[in-house]
Amino acid sequence: MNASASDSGLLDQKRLDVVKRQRFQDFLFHKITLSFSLLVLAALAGILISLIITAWPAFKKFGLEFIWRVEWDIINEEFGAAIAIFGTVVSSGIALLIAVPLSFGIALFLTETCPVWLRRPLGTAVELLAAVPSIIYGMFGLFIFAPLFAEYGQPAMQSTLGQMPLIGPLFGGAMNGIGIFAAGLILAFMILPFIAAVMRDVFEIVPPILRESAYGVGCTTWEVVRYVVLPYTQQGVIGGIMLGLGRALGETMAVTFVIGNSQRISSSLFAPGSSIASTLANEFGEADDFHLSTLFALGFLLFVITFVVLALAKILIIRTERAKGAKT
Amino acid sequence: MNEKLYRRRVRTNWIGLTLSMAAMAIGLFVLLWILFVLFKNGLSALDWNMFTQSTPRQALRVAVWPMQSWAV
Repeated sequence: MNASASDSGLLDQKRLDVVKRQRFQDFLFHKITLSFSLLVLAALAGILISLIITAWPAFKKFGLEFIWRVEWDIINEEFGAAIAIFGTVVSSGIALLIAVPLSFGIALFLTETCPVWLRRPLGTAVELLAAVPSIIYGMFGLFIFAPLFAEYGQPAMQSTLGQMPLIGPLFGGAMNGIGIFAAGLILAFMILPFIAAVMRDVFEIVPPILRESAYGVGCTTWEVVRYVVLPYTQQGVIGGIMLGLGRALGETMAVTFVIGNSQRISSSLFAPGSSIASTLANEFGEADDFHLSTLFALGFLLFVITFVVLALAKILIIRTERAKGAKT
Repeated sequence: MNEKLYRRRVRTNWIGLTLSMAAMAIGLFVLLWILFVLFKNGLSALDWNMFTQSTPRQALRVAVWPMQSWAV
């Protein structure tokens, strides 16, 4: 009796020890993972603070006006971010306008109509496009694409789109192959595989039963994609587009090669311009004192733009989800 | 069956799928174009000296072993 009681007491003690050890492990695991997450936040805060500190002289001199000033005069130290912001936003916008429909088409082809034996090689080929370094895109854009674009692409666009009433002026001006439109086009090729790969992956996770049910009631492939696949994968698709936009906004080398690097805003998309990243890449090496501070201010604005874009995307997704919830 | 509606649906489907194939073709074309240009211009310029000679003679030694350039 006594022996069995002492055995059970020993067992309880052992169990207690195991539970205590497990609790301690859990506590440790929780704190370690928490510290990793906090490390990311700390790095983000550190970057933000260092940007603000270094950019402070520029913001102190120009105030908020810095954002919409169009000067960029290094000699007289008169700076404004409007030209670079314009170049960044417009080239990224053009890139998205071209890349999103193309990526959607590629993802649709790879998941719905492509023969099964061809899916893997074609998917790998698209992923290979993502593996090309951005500077290769830049070199390709400047040395191969720009001369061809100046000789064939721009004249064709000017004689067609350039003659249209409202958008005509956008395609006017000198045609030398480089400029904001060329930068947008090269950016589009660059972000295309990222968006396409994400779209393909999210299209593939649609439960087969949903697809088959739609086909069963007589839907065409297009209708299945339009009314079943797209609504089901909306969040992932928007995520993929935002991933592409994030890359386009911050892209440096590919844009620097082909945007023309001119500090002016023109009504023509064929005219040279500059983006925030290209301005930083071109001028950072030679900048000092106040000029350096304005470059950091540009970097801070790029940070803010990217953050605002991602926040807007998140809000858009939440609203869409809520609207969907309200409907059902 | 509404023949007109059916034809419209089939046409929309055909246009959508054709455009998706065209998108795939454009994507592949760009990839092959970039790779072709890269290999055509890159491979012809590659030789052993490129990696072993120093910068003035168009070499990558400094890029591959930057410490050596500091030592020099």
